[in-house]
Amino acid sequence: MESVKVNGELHIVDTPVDKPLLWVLRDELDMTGTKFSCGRALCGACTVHVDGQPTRSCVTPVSAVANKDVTTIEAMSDDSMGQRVQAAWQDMNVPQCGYCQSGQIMAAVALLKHNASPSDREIDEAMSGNICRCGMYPRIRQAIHKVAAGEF
Amino acid sequence: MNPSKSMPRRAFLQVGALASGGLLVACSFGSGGGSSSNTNGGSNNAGGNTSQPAAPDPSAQKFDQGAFIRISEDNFITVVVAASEMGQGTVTSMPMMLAEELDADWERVTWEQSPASTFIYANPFWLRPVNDVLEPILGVEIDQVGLQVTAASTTIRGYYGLYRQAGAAVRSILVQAAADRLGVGTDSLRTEKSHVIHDATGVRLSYGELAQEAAQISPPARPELKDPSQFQIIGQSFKRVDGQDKSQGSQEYGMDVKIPGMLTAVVERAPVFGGRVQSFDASAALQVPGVESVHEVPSGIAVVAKDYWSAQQGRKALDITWNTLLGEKLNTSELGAQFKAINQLPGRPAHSRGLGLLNPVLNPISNAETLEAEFEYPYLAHAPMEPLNVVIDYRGNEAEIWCGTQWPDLEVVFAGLVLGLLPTQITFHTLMSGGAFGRRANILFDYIQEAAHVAKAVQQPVKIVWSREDDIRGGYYRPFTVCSLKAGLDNQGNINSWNHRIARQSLALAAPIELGVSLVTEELVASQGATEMPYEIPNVLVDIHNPHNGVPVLWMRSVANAVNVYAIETFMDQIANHTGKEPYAMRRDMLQNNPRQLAVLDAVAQMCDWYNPPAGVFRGIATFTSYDSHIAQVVDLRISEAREVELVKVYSAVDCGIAINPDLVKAQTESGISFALSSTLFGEISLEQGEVQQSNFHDYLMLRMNHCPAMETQVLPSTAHPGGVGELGVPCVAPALSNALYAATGETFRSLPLSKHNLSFV
Repeated sequence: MESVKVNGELHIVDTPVDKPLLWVLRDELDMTGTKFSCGRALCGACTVHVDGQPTRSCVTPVSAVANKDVTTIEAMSDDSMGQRVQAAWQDMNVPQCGYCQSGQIMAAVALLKHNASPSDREIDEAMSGNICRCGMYPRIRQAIHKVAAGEF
Repeated sequence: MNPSKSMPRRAFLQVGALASGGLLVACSFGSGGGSSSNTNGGSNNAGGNTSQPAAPDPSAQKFDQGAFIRISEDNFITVVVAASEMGQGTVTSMPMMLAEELDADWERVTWEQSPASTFIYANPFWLRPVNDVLEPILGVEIDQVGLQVTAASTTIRGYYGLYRQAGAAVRSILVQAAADRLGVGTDSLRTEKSHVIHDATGVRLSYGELAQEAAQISPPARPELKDPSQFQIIGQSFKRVDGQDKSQGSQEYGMDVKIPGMLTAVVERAPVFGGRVQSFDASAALQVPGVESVHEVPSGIAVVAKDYWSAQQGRKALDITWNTLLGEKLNTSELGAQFKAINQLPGRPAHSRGLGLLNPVLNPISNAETLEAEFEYPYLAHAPMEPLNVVIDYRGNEAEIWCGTQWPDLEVVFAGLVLGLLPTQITFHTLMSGGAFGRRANILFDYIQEAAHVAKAVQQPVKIVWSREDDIRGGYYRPFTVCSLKAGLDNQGNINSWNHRIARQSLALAAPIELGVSLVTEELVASQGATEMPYEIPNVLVDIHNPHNGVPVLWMRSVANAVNVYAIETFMDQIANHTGKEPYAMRRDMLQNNPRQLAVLDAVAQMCDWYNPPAGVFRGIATFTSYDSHIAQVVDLRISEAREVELVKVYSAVDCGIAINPDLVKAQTESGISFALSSTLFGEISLEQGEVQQSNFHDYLMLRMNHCPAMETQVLPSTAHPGGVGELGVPCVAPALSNALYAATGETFRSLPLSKHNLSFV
């Protein structure tokens, strides 16, 4: 039995200790907003926050987040920064296929919470772990700048 | 292509059929716009009290099967979307086309994915040329026969007429219903925001309250369509209607489907294409907690477990002996020389202008000089962010399938072939795809057939999931290609003859089939982009070789355009340099009789102020046409002494005819640029002794934020029939980039990816 606290709620799951958080979220807790794509922390689609830090859930064993706060995309609609980022994403038509966007938004929210006005270089550093195969990087960059500028 | 042919010649059968069934507009009594009339039924009682829910009508089910539109009593309009959404904006732009002619209130328009059906939802684009041949012979009009495949940038240009006619036909009967109710002439009525308005009396009737009466009126066969100058919805940059779900993590993809009792399966496939299981021992795998069963299927060994993670652990414990005697043993390092040798021989003619086969490049007569260049391109994997997956609930005499796919009508057929079911025994749910790029439109229907084999073995609801490694190593790549070009120059240095020879594995399994496909559309075959070469050159011959090997290949976003346009457009700059011409000016000279192409070329040159680049910036230009659209692009870059390349900016000028949603056209163009940059800078699938050497995003690299240039895109105003844009942004990027590098270094880059040429990207 492993315990995992997700979006403020404690869950007890009967699962191997080495099972990645991603699969606990998706298969045990039916929280499918966090996406599987590479399985090796190479693309960022599975990004969640662990104690506020952007973390690749596909390589994070569930045992590693015991006693920690896991935050997923499902909580972003109730998060003030999450709401602003989501509003910018929608207004600027950022998503295309949309599959990477949960991870992009989690990375962007973490960035903006730690850095209210990131430079292009800081955006590169924070966001380059997240692949968007539809290539919406210019819009992601612009959306982050607009949130930082208070437009959303 | 003649754009006028894109309009169905006979109007919209579905509306007629629905009217004959007694219900034109289904009503969802009291439950809002998004709900289905399946649950609440509908009524065909003319003039009945619409506030009283009618008894469920069996015809409502029949209606829904063929529906394009539902109008609820509370005036919500649901547009059924026949094409697949994989990021292009389909579920936004297709309802816009219909809502325009319906004069709908966009704020109260919702969408719904269509069922899989060739006969109701096929894109009329596909078999149009066949119909043109068959109709005079058969003496009947053929409509609505095609394929329900979302590919080759055909959604907007194929469905444009159909969706507009549907909207116009429904609007016309709503107006008639209002005229009947009010006892006035239809010419005294106008429509606006889902209401019929009688200005003389100020009466406003909502479409919802007219729906039942309208259902009794036969729609016109050829409803009058608006002149583009009257458009109020088409041409607006409305926000994506899927933007909210896609930014809240609530959009459901195939990967997210979960049904009661569902297991998850993964498949261990042969290490080389064509390999087969000789023997296997599943005992260790079956000991892994969560693993339920192990099955041999034609493609390999399926491990079935209660969840994905357990299935993958079980898979690692498999002990399989593979028989690879008949398997592929290809070394891609040898393929370039082999294809170049093949290209020494004349190929199958695909296109000619002027002297054609007597092309003076091949039979030198009058050329002052002949230039040659050869280009080599590797295999590429599509790598959509959502790995392939299929959910199948197989119940012996019927099945239900959930799948993100570009080709639902034939997925059903091929799943049925494996399951022993007729298409009518399968309920198919087309889900949004987390990217597709051609991989989810496989002419061999590989993943659905494999999934059906697993489902048949499991006899329980099951989700078949591919890992990223399965995806990268799974084949169905963009084919390895060599293009060999020759240009004959006259005494003034003008190109008077041109030969573009292509060695490329056929997408259509065998050359004769590819030849057949080419009769229907150029857009699937190796010569695509070479045939459409836009420049005025008197004598042109395009010829093709289709060497075969065991590596499965498939179309990938922009298909052969990507390789052929790179060859043409980099060769052009090399010819310009050789003849002392300026690249943009030389292109202009050869486009004087091609006004739309010239317009995008001039537009992009003006956007970037072509002759005055910023200090230290080198730039390249390229242009091409396909999908009934035109584009020209400029890439700006800097390069250091250490050959570190910084991509500064990409400019694009697009003429896609009428742009349904200009911001989504821009978004598609930007997406095409990024997609092209991944391939151009890094993309390569290589094989050694038949084994694919790449496996995931650490060795099959994608463009990331830090390498992505700024982009500026201009969509030129036009009243021409819409063209495609999903692939348009891809092919010019690589040659424009290569031309900028040529301008900076004097080096030609005749193979891709560029990272092989001692260049790094910062």
